[in-house]
Amino acid sequence: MNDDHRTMREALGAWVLGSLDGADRRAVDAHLGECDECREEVATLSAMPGLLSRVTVEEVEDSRLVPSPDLPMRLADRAAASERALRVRLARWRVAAGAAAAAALVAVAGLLFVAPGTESPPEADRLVAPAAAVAVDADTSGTVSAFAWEWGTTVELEVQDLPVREAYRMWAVDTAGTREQAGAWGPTESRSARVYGASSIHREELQSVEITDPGGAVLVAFDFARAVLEQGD
Amino acid sequence: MSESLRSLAQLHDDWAGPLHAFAIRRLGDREAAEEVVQDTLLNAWRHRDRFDPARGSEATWLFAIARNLVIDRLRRRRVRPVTGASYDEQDHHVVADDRLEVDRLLETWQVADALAALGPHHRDALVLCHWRGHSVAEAARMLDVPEGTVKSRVYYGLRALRLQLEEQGVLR
Repeated sequence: MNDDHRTMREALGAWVLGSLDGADRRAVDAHLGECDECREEVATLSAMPGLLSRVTVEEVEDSRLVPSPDLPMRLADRAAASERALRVRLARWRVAAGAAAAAALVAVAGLLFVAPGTESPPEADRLVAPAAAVAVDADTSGTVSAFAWEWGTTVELEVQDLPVREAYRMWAVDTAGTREQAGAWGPTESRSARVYGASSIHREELQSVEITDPGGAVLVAFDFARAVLEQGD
Repeated sequence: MSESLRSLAQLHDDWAGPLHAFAIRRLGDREAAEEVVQDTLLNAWRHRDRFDPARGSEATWLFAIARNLVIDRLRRRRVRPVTGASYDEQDHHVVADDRLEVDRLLETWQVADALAALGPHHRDALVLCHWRGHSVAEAARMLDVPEGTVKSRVYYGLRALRLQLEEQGVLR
């Protein structure tokens, strides 16, 4: 009978879980003996009790194993914040490392002892050079500011729309064409970067600052012949 | 090869759930577990260049990171894990490398996720009949509904779970 089949079929879940007792269970047992369709249904449900038992009752009741719906948002916020923090940390480290390297160079040469740090340079004015894109695919904009120190120059690079490369190097070039690496960094998703570097080249002798790829191909150049002096406050 | 490790969003979509299930079972509280999930995904994503598929799957790598973060937290708290399988710091690396363990965690999370998506009526009927071990007659009295209703909720609840687990490849 159709109604009976339907009733029996809806009882198969409870039968599989072992929740039927007495007459109910015997009725389903008997029905399964004569109904291929229901036997098949039982076969496909038979894995369920084992799978359900992977999860404890407490875990089901408060959906504890499922993360909060705002997790993706919080993750995205943290990713953005950490990228910023990483850039700032890198920049600070570059100032310290660059300055220390320059100081060591000066000390080895037996010249005046200098103690550069992260405090303001003696002349707090900045010489600002605009970007002139060089690479074919570069529509980079930005500036390099140069600060004069007794031991050389610190440069502060701020660029947008860098062409995508696996890494970048920053170089200071003096009027004689001598090059010193003043910084290195990796790609950013925003294609912009704020990098601090240092060079032993004195600011009066600084011809240009260049950004190259790791192979040395110039991506962007900043020409200090075209630089503007901005007075510090 | 860094291409084998995908964007942060994709990592999140595929693994946040299983990682959360893993972490909350060992740490017991949601807030700590979700921090571990975020730290794991951010850590993996930032260091995606170090991921080497020749040395194990993306999943194995992620769970190894998560496991270390969980251990750090447990050490800081100096308590044993609250729930879940017995946990031994001595053998954590063995478990971390075990592909079967990761598969099992993924399935467990998929079951939990399917249960969370179930309507409350169906879920309550399953909780009483399966986890609490009540008969249909007892469940009907507790829920104050006819026995036929309990049977039908259990049946359609199981079918809905089965369907979702089939779609996710847990059941074939």
